[in-house]
Amino acid sequence: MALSTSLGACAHRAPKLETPVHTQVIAVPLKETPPADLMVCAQRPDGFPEDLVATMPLGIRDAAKRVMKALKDDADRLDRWVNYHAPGSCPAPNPTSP
Amino acid sequence: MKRILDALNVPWMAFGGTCLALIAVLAFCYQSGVKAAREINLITVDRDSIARWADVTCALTGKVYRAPGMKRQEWGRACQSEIQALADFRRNTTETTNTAMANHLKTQVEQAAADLAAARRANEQTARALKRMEAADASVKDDHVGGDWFGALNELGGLRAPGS
Repeated sequence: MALSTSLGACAHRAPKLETPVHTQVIAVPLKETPPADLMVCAQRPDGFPEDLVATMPLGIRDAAKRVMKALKDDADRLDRWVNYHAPGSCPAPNPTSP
Repeated sequence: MKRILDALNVPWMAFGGTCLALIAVLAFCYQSGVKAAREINLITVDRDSIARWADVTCALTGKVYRAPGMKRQEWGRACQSEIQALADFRRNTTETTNTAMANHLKTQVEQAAADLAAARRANEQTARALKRMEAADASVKDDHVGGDWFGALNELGGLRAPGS
């Protein structure tokens, strides 16, 4: 009884807390934003016309294949990079259509 | 003295006993007083020590515990608010940081999963294009190439023929 009485007296005299002055928070959402020119989808221009014929030696045919495969690999990789940071920005490769 | 006591009709032994009792009471009171004084001194030292601690601790927060002219009821109020704000700040910062990092981790996992699916699709596309290219190459005669071969080449490059 004596304890509760004395504690009550203390509570009555306890200073009232003011509202905290600063409640700013340092933590910010983590977001990686690559340079804008790296966020442009790969160029995919029109290819070779398919209604024409030509004579192409083996060396030229092999070179054309190398160049075209490298073009696709790099274009796919660039589109994946852009889509990784901004999903849905570039057309996704579709294995069911040519 | 004896004559006075005889005159007052007080027995000598009773006077002696009373004096002894009085001396004992006085000695007890003296001892108690010394003890109380020592305790009061200790309490004063403790109070001063706590007050110094409060001054130094509050100074760390940038607020004073007490200042000349400040009412005793106001002592420590600003300091306590500051400590409360700092504690809230630390708790909020920790919580928000944990949430931000957890969300970032979740986003990264989702991005990696989506990218893995995209990489698989691209690989399947390339594998199919290579197979078609191989077949088209096999049908080339005398270095003459036509629509089929160019179509396979376009697919290998992930391109479409003009106008298609």
